[in-house]
Amino acid sequence: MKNNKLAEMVEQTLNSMDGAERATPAPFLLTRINAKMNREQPSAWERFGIFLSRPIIALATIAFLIFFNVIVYTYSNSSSNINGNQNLQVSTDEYSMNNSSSLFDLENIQP
Amino acid sequence: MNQPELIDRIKNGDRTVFKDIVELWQKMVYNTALSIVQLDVDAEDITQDVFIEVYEKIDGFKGASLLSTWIYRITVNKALDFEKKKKRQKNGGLLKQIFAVKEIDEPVNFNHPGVLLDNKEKAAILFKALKKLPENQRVAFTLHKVEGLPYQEIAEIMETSLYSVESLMARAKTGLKKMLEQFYQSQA
Repeated sequence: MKNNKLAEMVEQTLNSMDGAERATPAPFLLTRINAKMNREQPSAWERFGIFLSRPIIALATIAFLIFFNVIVYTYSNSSSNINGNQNLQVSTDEYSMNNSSSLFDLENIQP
Repeated sequence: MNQPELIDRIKNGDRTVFKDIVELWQKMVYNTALSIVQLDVDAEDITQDVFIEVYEKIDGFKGASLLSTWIYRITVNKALDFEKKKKRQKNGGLLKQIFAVKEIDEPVNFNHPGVLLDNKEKAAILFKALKKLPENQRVAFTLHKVEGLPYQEIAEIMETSLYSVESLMARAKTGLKKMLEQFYQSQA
């Protein structure tokens, strides 16, 4: 009996929209649509700003900047090692560090 | 004015036809949107957006389906998109979603203005349960029960088969029955 009443309530609820009328929008809908259509479009800069402020774009930009920094840092590290060796070589050659140039050597030149 | 005449006027480049379209289908669009989003302010916004899209894309309407079917499809899609956008705004950004304590999104009571006075209370319970159904089941049930559309037209609006609509309706009814039984049992 109790189950029957429950089933009846459920069925009545499921059919509660029977005979319902359509809801009506507020008056002057066409005027409001026209006003919305004529509303000024955002400028190119505003649209660009809106585009940049999208979370996915902001995250992608940050990720790119981090990646770019890592690449630049890695590259500059490896190239500074090569440059360092080259500079050492240049200094050695320029100041003739490998040649005998002490006073003792100069005074005792072998014939 | 019948639909073939409207379509002819559209194809002949008569832009004044837009006024007739709004007058003819404003209740249909508003009622469908309202039944999906269950908030009159949002339904008003959606109705305006639907007709703006109709105005912008009417030249591309091929007439493969009824004009009303095409407008129904735009309405349903706009209403569902609106709901998703609102949910995203409510939940906040990605970080907020990760760190914030998740709140249970309990639907508020909605009273459809067109429901008979005797059925007001039951209809409010039905709409509350409807919000918890999966999206496609909810759309099929709403179009059938609120707009009174036959399954064939619902299939065309949802761009699916008649069999799928029958299946969606069966699952929607089963789900709703279960929710309503639980609700009435908890009230007893």
